[in-house]
Amino acid sequence: MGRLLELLFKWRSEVLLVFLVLLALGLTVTQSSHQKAIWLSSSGNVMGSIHRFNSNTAAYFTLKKRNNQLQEENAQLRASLYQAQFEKALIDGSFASSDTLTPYEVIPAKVVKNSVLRKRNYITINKGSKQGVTADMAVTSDQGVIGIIEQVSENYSTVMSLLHEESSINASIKGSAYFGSLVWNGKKLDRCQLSDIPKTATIQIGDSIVTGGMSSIFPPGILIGQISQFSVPQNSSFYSIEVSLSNEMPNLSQVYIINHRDQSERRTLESLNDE
Amino acid sequence: MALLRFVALFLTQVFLLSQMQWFDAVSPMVLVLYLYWTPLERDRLWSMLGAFSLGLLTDIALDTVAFNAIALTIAAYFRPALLRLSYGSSVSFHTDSQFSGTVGQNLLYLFWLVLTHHLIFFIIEVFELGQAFVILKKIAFHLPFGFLVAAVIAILFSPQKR
Repeated sequence: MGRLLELLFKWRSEVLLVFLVLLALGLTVTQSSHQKAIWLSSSGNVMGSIHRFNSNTAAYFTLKKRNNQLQEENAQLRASLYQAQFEKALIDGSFASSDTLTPYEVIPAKVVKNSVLRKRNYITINKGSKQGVTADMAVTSDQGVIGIIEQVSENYSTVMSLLHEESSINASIKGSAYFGSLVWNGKKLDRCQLSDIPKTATIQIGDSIVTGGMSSIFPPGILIGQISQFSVPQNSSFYSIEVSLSNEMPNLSQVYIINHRDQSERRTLESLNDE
Repeated sequence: MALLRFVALFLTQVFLLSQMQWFDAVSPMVLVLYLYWTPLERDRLWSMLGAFSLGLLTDIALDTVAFNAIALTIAAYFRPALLRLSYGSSVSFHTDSQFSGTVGQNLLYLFWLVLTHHLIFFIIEVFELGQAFVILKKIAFHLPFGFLVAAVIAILFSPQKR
């Protein structure tokens, strides 16, 4: 208190100036309509700026929470989308009829590690068995296919990336019934190769490549990339197609794990044929 | 003596100078003479309170809200700086009034006071910095007449040098 009084005494001229000027300004803006109108307009602008600043600051600090909410919402929307695609595939005859009304569950996750420089690249994500993740689930991002879950711990999973020399994903040309296998030759980070498409198929550069309905892992119709070039090797009945990936594989952050609920039933059945 | 100057300036401004409308628009404003005549040794606080009171009374009488009160209070606050600007830094060693300076120094000091008063007065009157040109135009019109009349009064009524 003593220090405050000392400070006030030291700055008494300034304190008095501020007091008298504020008093006079108060009189001015209350007594004069011209000054009052300008004051109200200016203070409205200032208060608007302050509120906007407050709102922006608050929004900035809730971004993480909001991001998680959006990712959850996205996951639900994706599940609905896959459901719709699944139903369309049922009608088309690509899928067998199922008792499961919602065959896909979507779990949002974040990439915590991502390797792209090896021949066998893996991605580590922050969801594991505790969150219901198991091996052989599909992983996508909002841009397209990422890979397939390989190993699972309680809270983390590793994903076999598309950029893995042993990766092979059932893929088709969007809008056609031709299916092939998407593999990676280990050369470019943004290119994969699609094989087994017969040369009788009509294709052109820019055609979209999507996951095929033959896969028990991926829902049909998820974007993989576009045809960047193609050729027919000599003495071959199949195209050699290069696919430009829709995902930037070295730059991944948010991903979605897709649990195909019918997968185990389908695999068990298919394994009987192999025996 | 200070009270007499206070009353005389108030009456002169309200009943004489503000009734004059030169070129149908310009009325000389000479209230800063109160600060000009305030002795150097007078505490800044009292100068500010005196200036504020004179300005507010004049504003009430002339219906100028509180323009003069603000302008005179700010001019009173900056009075020591204006004194140093006009008389040099040695002014702080004076214990008497400022009238020991030359006529040129006195007029310069008066000019700074009138300019400060007019600047603040018209800024508050227009109240929009976006209208800076209007403010400058008003200052340009009023300043010469205000300074001229204030200088004449200052010369006519200045106390004798001791």
